[in-house]
Amino acid sequence: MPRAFMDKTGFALAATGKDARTATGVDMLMSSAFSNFALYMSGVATLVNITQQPPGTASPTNVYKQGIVTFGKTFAVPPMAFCGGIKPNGYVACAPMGTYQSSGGGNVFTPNIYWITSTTQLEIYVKRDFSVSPGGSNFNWHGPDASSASYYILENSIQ
Amino acid sequence: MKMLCCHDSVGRISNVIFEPIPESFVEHYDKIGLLHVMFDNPDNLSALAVASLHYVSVGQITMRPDCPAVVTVEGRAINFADVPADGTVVAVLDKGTEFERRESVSDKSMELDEAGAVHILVDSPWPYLQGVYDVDVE
Repeated sequence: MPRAFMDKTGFALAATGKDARTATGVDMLMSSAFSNFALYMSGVATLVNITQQPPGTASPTNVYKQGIVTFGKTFAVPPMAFCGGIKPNGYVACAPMGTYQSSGGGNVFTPNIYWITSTTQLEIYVKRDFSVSPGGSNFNWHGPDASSASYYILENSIQ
Repeated sequence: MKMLCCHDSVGRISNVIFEPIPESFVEHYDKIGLLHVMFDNPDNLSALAVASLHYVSVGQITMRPDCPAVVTVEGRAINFADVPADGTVVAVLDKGTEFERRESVSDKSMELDEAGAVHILVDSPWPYLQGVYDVDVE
């Protein structure tokens, strides 16, 4: 009863006392048949103010900054990504949600940061500090105040 | 750490990629026309410093020039000299419990009604860095 084996399909390692050829679920510690996320690329993207409303948000226009990262290849499916806005003091802010004051006077939840991957690029959106004063009323969208964003792109080993 | 810096036609760095950089990356960028330059980073700068304080000039990572504006205070007047053409001046007046924002594109001075601390930002055309000046008006 081999606990590990390697053949043309890859490698497998089972838990103690289990057969690597038949083990499944928690009895299989590692297998090439599992999805493994390897780091494909990482870096820092510069954020620039945008005037359009980002896709997928209910926020007003002029509230977000955008960074775009072009991958070094075309993925079969959009890869997983993790991002954080870099504040002026160098801290990385990942707080996903924040509020803004609506015209009705209440607070509305809206993303501080979110990102979208396609097969060719990553789009990062980070809310910026922004305020307008229509008719004498103040409306503030407080954001992470980031000028850039760090990112990690993970490649799925079985896709 | 070496970095691959993507940039636009005027040298703005849009993305800094850390090592290890996957094979065929550069070839792919060349193919799709994405401008890039490899930076050896001899001073071990952070990616944030590279992206925000530098630009690409003649294929080299280069420090962005300082804002040339000179800010002086005379009484309640704040005077601006050597603001580049098309530069924008924003002054934020600290009034203790609130802030007042004033913006000027072409004026060479700004007269204030009251004393206090003033935070001034001068945005100049690319590739100048943003000028930041803190003055006290008496």
